[in-house]
Amino acid sequence: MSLALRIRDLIKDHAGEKALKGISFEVPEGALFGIIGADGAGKSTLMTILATLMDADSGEVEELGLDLKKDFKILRHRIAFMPQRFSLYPDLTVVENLHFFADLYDLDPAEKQKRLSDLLKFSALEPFQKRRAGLLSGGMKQKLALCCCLLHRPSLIYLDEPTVGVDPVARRDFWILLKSLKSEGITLVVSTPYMDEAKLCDTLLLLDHGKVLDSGSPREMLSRYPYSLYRIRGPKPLAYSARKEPPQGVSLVYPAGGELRAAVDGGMNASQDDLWKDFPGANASESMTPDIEDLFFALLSREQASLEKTVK
Amino acid sequence: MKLFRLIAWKEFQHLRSDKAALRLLFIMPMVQLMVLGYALTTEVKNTPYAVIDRCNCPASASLLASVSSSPLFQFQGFAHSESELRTWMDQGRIRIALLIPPDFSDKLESRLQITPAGLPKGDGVPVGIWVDGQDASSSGTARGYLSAILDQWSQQRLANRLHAQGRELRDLLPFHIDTRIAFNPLLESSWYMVPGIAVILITMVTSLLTGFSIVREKEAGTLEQLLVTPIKPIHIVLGKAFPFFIIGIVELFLALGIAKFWFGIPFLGNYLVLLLFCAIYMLSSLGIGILTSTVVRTMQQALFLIWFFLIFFLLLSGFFLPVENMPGWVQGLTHINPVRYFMQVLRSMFLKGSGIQDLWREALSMLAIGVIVFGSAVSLFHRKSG
Repeated sequence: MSLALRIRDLIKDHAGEKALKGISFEVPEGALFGIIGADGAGKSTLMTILATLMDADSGEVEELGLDLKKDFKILRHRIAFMPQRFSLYPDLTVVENLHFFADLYDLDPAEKQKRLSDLLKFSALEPFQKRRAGLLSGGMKQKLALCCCLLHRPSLIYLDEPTVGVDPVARRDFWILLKSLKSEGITLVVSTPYMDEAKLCDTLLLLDHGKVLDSGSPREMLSRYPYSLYRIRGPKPLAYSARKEPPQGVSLVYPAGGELRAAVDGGMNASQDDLWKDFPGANASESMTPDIEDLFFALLSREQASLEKTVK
Repeated sequence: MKLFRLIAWKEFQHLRSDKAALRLLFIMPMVQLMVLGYALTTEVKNTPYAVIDRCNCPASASLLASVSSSPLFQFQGFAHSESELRTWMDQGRIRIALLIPPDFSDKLESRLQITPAGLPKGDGVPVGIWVDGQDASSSGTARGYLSAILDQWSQQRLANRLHAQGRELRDLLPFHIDTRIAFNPLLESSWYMVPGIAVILITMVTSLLTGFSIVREKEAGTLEQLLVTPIKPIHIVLGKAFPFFIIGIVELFLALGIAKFWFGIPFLGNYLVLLLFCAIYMLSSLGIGILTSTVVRTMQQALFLIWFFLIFFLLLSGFFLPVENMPGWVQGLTHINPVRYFMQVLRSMFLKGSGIQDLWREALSMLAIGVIVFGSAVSLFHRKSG
């Protein structure tokens, strides 16, 4: 399979900090590729570089078979970028915004008309054509922004946290749109802080403090989960202190929803039905399958442990 | 060209949709022009003064009458002692004071004993003036006026006495002054100030609005969105500057109308030449806005930085204070101040009707500054945005 994106040792210092500390990964053509990480992980910096808006300090990027540094002008015709914030003109109407961006890409009039009506249908924004963009709901704004990205039929789209601040129903709708774009063969690179959205991607990149923690398909990555995971329940919300050492044999404890989760070293393997006894106020524990969030925590704590080791 | 038009169209749409701002854009400067046209005057009038009259004689009464009949001074009262005078000055009740000595009448009389051989020997009568020197310039002017009134009074006395003897003071004076005032015969300060205010308004509107319109897109993230498209940064800059160029010209001609029809200031220059000069000048004022917008991230920073520049430009433009009054090195600095040249151009076009043949030096200076400012603004914008 050919690659939409190939990145080698990308390094960038941004605002006096090492935002990207040597990142390498590949994105196959037609993928729905998710970049997962907490705030400050370097997601936006990475996206801004890939979208041709900022130069990296060093490293190689090949986008759609072209060199990012040399051919950024050609690339601008073939990629699209949807920034984190709503970045259209609130005082122009939906249609005026679309016309404006269509003209920036110099679409010919017939093509423009067709594209516009297709996209309005696709995004279900047709009834709101004459509305000023600033008066749209959060979800509709994001749909309009996506439409503006799609006007010139890009082969590769970067979306930086497109669903942050959007209500759950609109989020689901938005992801349905992304899936349908993927089915048209467009490569999508989406960053998100939401772990539940990660499952919707076919390949993931876990990013933390400018470094790649792991990457692969969600299934692949979860198969590499290094612990046995237990959920621990109690009648009351359980007291949890991050500073307290976890009980013997438990590598990691963290709250999730109303419960605690405990990651136990796989090697122990013995029945952990009575694990709850180590936690004050708990009365039950049961084994569970980890999801991306659990994997993320596990990798993070490992990273930290190895860091502490090197410091010592 | 097409992309430039597209950006300019969008910018006009923004202006159109913000009707309140658009109204402000034209009404505010006009109100300012009308109010400031009257308020900003370098004339010193109604200076409050007090008197210590220790003579209290017909001569001192006549002297005081000549002062109080002038609209330049406003009588606040007689003080009984110097310490009272001092208190009044401390309180700010008076800005200037006149002290008449007890022997004023006697000394005056002996001084005016003129014989055919000439004036009697000895000094004239000492009359004191106290001045509140805080505002050096207007106090100086008030002092000058007061001395002139007093001088005139004493000359009149001398003339009367000579006249009684069959001689005329005019014939004795080595020369007399014949003043002719060119360009502004009534010395109306509004004739000088209104064109200057117009320059300031145009400068503010074009530099601030251009800067804001770019920084606003930066803040909103729409600039990024523009830059990932194939559009060239030069198209963005020119397209965004163009509407404010038009606004600047409209404002200039509005100001011209107010100057002509409201203040009755004659505009003797050629309108096309004015348009040309204005276009050259706006290279600089628009350029300052763009230049600022490339180095700042927020509207506040933009406002602060543009104001920082404008304050220098305005105060060193000769708007309030003649450039010739400034220390040499500051005068040198004013040569890189575009406002100074345009101030000079507009004022002399108004009152003198100067044309290109008189103002080509200013035009070239403005062009040089404009090309440098606008050019570096555009290239910096290019560099910052890849």
